[in-house]
Amino acid sequence: MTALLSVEGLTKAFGPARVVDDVSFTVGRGEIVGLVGESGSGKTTVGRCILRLTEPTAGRIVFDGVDLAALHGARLRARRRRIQMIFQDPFASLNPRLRIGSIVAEPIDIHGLASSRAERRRKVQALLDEVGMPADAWRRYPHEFSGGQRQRIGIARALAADPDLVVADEPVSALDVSVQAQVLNLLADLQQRRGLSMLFISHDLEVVRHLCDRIAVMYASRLMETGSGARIAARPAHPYTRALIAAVPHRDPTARKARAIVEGETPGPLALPPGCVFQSRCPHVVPHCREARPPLAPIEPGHAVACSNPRAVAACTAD
Amino acid sequence: MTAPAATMPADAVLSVRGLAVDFATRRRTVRAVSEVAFDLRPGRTLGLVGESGSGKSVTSLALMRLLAQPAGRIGAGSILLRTPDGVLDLARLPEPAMRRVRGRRVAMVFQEPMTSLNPMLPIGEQIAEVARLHLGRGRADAARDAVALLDRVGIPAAASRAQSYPHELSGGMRQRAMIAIALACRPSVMIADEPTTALDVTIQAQVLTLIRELQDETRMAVLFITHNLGVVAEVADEVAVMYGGQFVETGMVAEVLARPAHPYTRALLESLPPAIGSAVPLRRRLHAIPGSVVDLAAPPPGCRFGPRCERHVAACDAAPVALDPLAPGRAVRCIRARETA
Repeated sequence: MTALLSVEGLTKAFGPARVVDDVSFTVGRGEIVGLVGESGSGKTTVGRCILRLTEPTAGRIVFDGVDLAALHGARLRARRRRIQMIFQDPFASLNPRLRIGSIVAEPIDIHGLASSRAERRRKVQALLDEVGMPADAWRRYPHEFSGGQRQRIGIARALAADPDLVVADEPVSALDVSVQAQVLNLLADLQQRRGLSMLFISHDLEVVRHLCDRIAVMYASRLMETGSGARIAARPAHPYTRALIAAVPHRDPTARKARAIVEGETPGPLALPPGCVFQSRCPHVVPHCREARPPLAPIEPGHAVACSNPRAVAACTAD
Repeated sequence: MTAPAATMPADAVLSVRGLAVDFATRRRTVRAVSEVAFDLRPGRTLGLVGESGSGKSVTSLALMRLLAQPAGRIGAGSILLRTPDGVLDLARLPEPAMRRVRGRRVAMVFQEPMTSLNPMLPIGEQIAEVARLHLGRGRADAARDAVALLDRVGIPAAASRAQSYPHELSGGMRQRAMIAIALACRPSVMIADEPTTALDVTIQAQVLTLIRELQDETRMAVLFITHNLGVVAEVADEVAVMYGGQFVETGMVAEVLARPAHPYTRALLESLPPAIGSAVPLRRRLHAIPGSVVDLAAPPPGCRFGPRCERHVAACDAAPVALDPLAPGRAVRCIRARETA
């Protein structure tokens, strides 16, 4: 089966700053792929390039067999209906002057998906119902709803165009944990019910491990590791992935221990070193890491790592 | 100096008793925090955990007397601080005296250092200023202190970095600079309000380690405010869980997280996605808490969590629920706590 979305060699440069550098991954049909990384890693730009909200500098974005990066005008718009976005901030992403009904109906109107006012109304009602909003929500305004409810509205709007792929950029990061749980449950339901594919962009490894079939780990504009969520969580092979997992606070205070904390900070996109971008912080660095850029190479089926020190990979996966 | 009415344990450096904070709106007054009481001890960390609107940040601002004026005010209670000059009640201290406490005895670190640092002054200068103001240090000595502190909080090339302006530093480095300012006067209490929330997880781990090390060296008491239960587990000795402006559960952090006695604490823990290494299957349904947070303008007559609680019974609505001791060092605001304990 071919992937629904195949990102190949995606690069985005703003002048001399390469914020996305040669990133390749796929999203299968009905699959949720987590793109995880810290701030400045380039993960949000990858999402924006897929939606062509940002023009890629190089690379292909093959969606259902067609390279979106080569499409323009009406043909791009027609394809783009099938990819929708959910944003992080449910306060900034909804027009405060529009009623919820108009917000959710916007994609229906733009793409001409309803033939009558009654059908439009029926669709909006069904969408609001699907995301668990009260029946009278359509005639109310965004400010009348909590953060979690606004995020549901944003999800309903994304679903209105009946997309095949949803790009969700930190959709639960602004929410309290109890509300975050509601929205994560909803996203899992939608994947199940609609067979929706999703690129889930997040800095939160625990959330990504909970929701995503596969995970792609990004650091300093590049992909470090891709693989199944279970594999990456249990046996991370890249020293950066390992550091990232080790840095997540432990919930069991009795397990509190002196952890191997990775030192230093992420190099900015203007200061990417030749060779591996993680070299300045990597405990396993060898001279070769400073010379050649490690390609993302498979170490076993479905698990690829961009590390040129095989001893590091072996050490990381040993325990 | 008049002796405060409330008393504090001999080993405490800060004791809060019966604290309430009111916010006046045009139409009415809302009690955002009520019945808050705790003790901070040297070298120990109390974690204050809660979701947005729980009152945790309002509590910290009240301790520093930094409530938004004129709307916010301390409505009741005392905030007793032990100083070399005796015990002060910060709830009643005149503002000029309070200014000598802030930064000198009690220091604060905020979530977003960019809003608390002066953008027009090099960071070394901002640290030196505190030492000159509060400790009367000379210009050269204060500048030397500042470089030493920047070095201690892990800022590389501290002497040249002291000349940097806040915008020239990364988020992690800015937070280290904030901590250096907080430490400049060797305060006996540090209040850290979501100090790592805006940071990446690898930088958060560095800053949490730094705070713990500094606490071991200086024996300062820390009040650590966070929404993140994992962070509480990492840094706190004791924890107070807040909901609707009140403590709903207090105790040793290991006890509370392993055996939560309040239904809200339990629900909060269950709403988290599974820990990374866990074998819990993908997308296993999370326990979401139904409803939304209590409206403090019209709190229910009984338990504030009652309308969302899965253990709710009619008796929960009868009267306000008290924070009752459950075991030594453990207290719970739930009439059914003893049934489950």
